[in-house]
Amino acid sequence: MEKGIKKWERFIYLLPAITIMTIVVLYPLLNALYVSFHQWDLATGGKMFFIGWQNYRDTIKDVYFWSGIGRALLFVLMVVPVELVLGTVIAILLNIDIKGQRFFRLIFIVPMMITPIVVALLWRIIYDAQFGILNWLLSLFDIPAQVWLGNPQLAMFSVAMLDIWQNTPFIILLVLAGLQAIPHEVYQAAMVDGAGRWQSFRFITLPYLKNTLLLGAIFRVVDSFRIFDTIFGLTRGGPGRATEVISIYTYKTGFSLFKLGLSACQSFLLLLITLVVTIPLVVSILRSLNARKAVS
Amino acid sequence: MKKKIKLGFIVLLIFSLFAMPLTGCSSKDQTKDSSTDNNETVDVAKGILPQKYKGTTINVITTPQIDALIPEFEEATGIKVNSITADYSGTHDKLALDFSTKKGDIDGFKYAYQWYGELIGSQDGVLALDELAKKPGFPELALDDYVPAALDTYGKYNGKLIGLPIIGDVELLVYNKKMFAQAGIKEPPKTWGELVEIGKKLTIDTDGDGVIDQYGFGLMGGRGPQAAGTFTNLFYSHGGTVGYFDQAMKAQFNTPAGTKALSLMAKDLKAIAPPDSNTWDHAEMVNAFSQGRVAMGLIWPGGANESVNPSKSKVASDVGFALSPNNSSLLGGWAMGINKYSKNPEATYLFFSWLTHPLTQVKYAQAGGTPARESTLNNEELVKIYPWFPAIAENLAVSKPFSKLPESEEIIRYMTEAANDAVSGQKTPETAAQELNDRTDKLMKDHGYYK
Repeated sequence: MEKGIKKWERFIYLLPAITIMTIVVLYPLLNALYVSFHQWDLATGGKMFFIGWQNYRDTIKDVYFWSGIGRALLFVLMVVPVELVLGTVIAILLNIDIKGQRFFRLIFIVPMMITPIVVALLWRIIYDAQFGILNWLLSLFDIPAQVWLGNPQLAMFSVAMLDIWQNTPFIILLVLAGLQAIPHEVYQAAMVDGAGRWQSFRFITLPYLKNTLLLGAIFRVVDSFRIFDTIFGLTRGGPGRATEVISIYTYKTGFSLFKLGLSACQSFLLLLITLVVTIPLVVSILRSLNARKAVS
Repeated sequence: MKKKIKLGFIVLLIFSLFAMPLTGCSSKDQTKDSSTDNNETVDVAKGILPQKYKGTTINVITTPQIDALIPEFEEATGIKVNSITADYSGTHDKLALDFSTKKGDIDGFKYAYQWYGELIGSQDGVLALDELAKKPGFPELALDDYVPAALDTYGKYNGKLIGLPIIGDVELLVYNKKMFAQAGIKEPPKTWGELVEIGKKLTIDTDGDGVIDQYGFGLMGGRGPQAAGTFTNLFYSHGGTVGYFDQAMKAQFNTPAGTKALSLMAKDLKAIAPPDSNTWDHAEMVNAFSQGRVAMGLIWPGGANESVNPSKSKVASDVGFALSPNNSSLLGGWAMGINKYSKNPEATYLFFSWLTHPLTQVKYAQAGGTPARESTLNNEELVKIYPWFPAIAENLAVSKPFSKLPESEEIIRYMTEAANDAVSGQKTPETAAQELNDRTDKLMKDHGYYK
């Protein structure tokens, strides 16, 4: 059947997707690239001037840009490993056949379904230094109240806790789906061979979940590297610049200072850095898929 | 017989010739009357407004107090007002983007005067109202009734009327009279030095559990615009140049006034403020004051209402308002302006001229709004309900404004960052002041003020 489909026919079937992608991805991307070579300052008249590589030169010399990149990378390192481990453990627990399994699954998925800015506002109340529930909980154990969002040493940790709370369910969902795909026969065969629970997990579950976890890692690395709404709602990048990750800095350049050319340039560099960070993970997935194809 | 018929016909014709213009006139006059009655008549006291814009929809950036009055206007005119809610930064950003498209999606808006240079000077997006003000069929503007500082600063730009003042905004010193009495303090501080000393006495552990639970001052030191407001107030009240620049347009933030202002925020005021005040904007300060967590603070009139409202404030009966320290305050203020590219400028003007009318302003004040009209601020009935109205007038008299340059908003954002950096201990006041100065000078240089 497949051999019967000619090349031009395939193109026609793909045309709607190509058209939509061109409109919503390619055009804005190319337009942003075009804008990035211009000085376009809305606050002072909004006229666009071609300035060549000047925005790129300014950005590369801008210490705040690089410190924003650094904070975003730190944030990724703080949240993604925890979300992957925690998500996998919870998913495995939720996969055990117990009473109320569906209810627990639902409960754990809820945080993911709330809009990030709403989550940020909720957590602002939770983190409130005087009235917040978190400090109240600490007080039960005689631990002094913390200024979660106002202390530069704690602020990024506070944002990370929120992110882990909200995005671990995504990993749970992925891993749960991955676990359903593992054939029971494999476990049964392993049991016959005398494998214990840990060995089954180490040599069956984990290898089967490898691609799922890599996929989850890619999504989470990209998403957390670009984190914006929760930080904007929680700290606006403060105190000082303690939580001013690169997307907050780019937003401020574009939509607070209205330097659209410079902001487009920063966004482009951010895109390139994101690609550099995620390409090894994508390559790893592709290799794994190719290896599986070769085996089968 | 034929002759009679002919004569009768001629008489009828002549009668008709006379009668027709008469009936025509009569009919025409009736239409005009009805037009005057239904479409042109304006009587704000009776709630009669022109109907000729019936069916028009206008999009307006408002405040909750304005929103409370919209149904009355819609009923009187048949105009549908779509209210857009946005805070300080949100309003600025929406306007800047809307003006850049030149489509006039937002017909009218509240705006802060410090955006004049940018919104009018550079973006040229605000409609001058002088021509509309001469047209009949709209409520009287009664410009003489505005507080002069408010009309001149919020309403006029280069001699043209470009906005109708809606919020007579100025920073007030708010204090808790009960806490003052308990500490034996008789009157509010007159200088920032006095304020810090009083604040130390009022920063205490009230329940004896070893944890301080009452602070002397509610410092707005977060990464929002109020940090810049507090800094500007302190900068001006310590002799800083109004408008931030010397004659050569060199920034004056690295002067003793600038360093002193940041030092006060980062050290003296921070020491008598709750530890999380470096995340606070106005809402957090008002909330802390209303919950009895802080004894003093700088407050905008918009927050005063909440602090004396018993359903929202634990200290409603103990609130006092006074002159901002050092006999100097910061002028805020909002006006209603019309988008130059609006497709419905007259309907929008009708809304704003009605909204800012002296009679409507009484209702606006009753809804919790802060008027900019003298008649409303001095209205005895209103002063009984809103005891801070005299303090507004007192502070307005000694208030100093933000800059109106096109770069004003960008500099305000620089000030916010400098103040928050200093309050959070990320930079020393001296470093933050110097960096603020350098960034501002670079901005002015980039914009061609000097080489």
